Amino acid sequence: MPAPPAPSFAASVGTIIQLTLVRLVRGRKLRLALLATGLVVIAAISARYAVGENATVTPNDLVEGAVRLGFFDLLVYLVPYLFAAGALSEEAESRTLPYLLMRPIGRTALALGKWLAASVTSAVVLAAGALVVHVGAWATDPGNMIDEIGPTLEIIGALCLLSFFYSALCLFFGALVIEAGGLLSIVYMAFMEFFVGSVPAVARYSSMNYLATQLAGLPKGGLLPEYAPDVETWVAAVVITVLTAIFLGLAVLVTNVSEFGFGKA
Amino acid sequence: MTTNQASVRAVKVSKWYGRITALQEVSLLLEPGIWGLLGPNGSGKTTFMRLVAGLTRPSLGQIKVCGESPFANPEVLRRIGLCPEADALYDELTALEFVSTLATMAGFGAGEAKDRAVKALTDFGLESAMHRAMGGYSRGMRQRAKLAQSVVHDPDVLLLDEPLTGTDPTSRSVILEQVKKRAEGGAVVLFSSHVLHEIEALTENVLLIARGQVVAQGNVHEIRDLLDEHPHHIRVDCDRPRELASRVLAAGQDVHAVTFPAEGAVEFLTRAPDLTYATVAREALAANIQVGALTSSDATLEALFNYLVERSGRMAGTGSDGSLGKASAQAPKAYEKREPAPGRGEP
Repeated sequence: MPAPPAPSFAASVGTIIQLTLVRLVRGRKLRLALLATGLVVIAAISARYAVGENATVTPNDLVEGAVRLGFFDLLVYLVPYLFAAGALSEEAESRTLPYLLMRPIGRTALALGKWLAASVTSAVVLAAGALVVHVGAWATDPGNMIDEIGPTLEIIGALCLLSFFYSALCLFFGALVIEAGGLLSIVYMAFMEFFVGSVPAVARYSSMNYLATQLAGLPKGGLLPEYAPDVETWVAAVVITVLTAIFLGLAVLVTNVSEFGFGKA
Repeated sequence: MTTNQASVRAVKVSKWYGRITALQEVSLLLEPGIWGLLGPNGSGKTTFMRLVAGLTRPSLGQIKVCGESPFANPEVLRRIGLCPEADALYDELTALEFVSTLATMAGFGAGEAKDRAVKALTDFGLESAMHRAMGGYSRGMRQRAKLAQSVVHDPDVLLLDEPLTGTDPTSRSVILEQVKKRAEGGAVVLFSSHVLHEIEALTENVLLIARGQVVAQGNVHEIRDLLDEHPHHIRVDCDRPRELASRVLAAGQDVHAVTFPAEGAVEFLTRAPDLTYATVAREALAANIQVGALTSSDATLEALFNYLVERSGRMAGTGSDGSLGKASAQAPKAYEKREPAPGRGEP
């Protein structure tokens, strides 16, 4: 019987997503991401109730603070990194990548499938965490819990957008340098995103994390926040989306031409 | 467009890893049947497999599988199956999930992919273990799971990189039987090994590769003849090496030279190793010589490969001469079209 025709692009992407998700669910990385998110959520909710009802700090302040510190300064880097940095490079190093490269799915579908699986999983974990913080913070005031959901949804939207961006970034570095993709991703995120996102003035424009906090309507943090520029929300969304597309395109390009370490002795 | 006929063609293919030459001007044409790729570790077998599988590109020359370059080419890849050498699997998946997912990626619908996966796993004797996570498999079971995924889509070109590594006799029997079936169905099967007996059990068509060159190719019997005519070094560690040497020489067997590499050791160079072994044993016994060890460094194929490389160097300057249809220390018949060779018995 002759071999069947190569699967469609959509079917190929779907199969890669399915395979990646099954492996994530059964592997340790998802558990680690859930544990980290859970700790942040517990810390935020504990702080909310530790200050008491009559304190000057409102639940809104606590949600914002927890989201800023726990989500925008920590989890939004960690979770996409966990899922995307090794998506291709770990398979290359563990020698399972040939099973995928040898199938007629096309390397573009492989890269897109890996990115989608990583970024959607990251987004779901972060969104769920942010939502639990919101519910926990307003648990004693259900009426306001509904009224205040708008800002939390903005925050969730910004977190999701950042998840897609960081997943593309980590996937690109992982495909580009098999042995050190994770390290490059960390260096890039630490400098361009975290450090530059905290310095005064217009340098902050190059940090997607800063743009995302603007998108989420969070107060400016970092050094001399009063000198940090304001950014229109639509501009922030467009810039993050375009940068995501650029890094994803680069990841696809590298995946299509790379020998993934098989060109080495 | 790929051609209907399954084939693998290499034209002056070289591959470098930095300063290391992994393959040097390899030219060959493989048509349907089983081809044994025989060579010592590090000889270039896996590199050649990777090139044919489209995992890497040649530094120089061309590789064509079914008429097209295989690198990142779905039209070719759908016709290739690879069982890689590395003991690497998705340990968290069951064998059924693993093979059916890869069958889906080969273009089958979910239902057919599962049916094919079940059949492939059953063919390789994993019917009772296919629902278990592969992380708990033995080495032999892992090897069979790898083989099942390589054949689940009925490839026209099947590449098996040391598929018998770590397998027990029962697994070997199952694997060899399945490989023969695939070849009988018209596939090109390239089976790499560094053990001559494994190849002999499958096919008479053999490619010998050493130091990145195809140093000989042809019938396995011709390889055997080369082994026999290749001068063997037999070293005997004993208490009276000079006396043993004189007695063996006096016996008038086919011993070309005698050396004394160390105190208490004698080394014979012979083209009749079996006869020399018998003579050494007989004379040592007769003279009551205490033998500590009797070894032959030439018993390995590596020695033969080195010999062939040296011989081809003397004859032609390099191993492969680069032209399709010729190799330097070779049996040119290997390029003639052959019927798939029947196996010569199970190991």
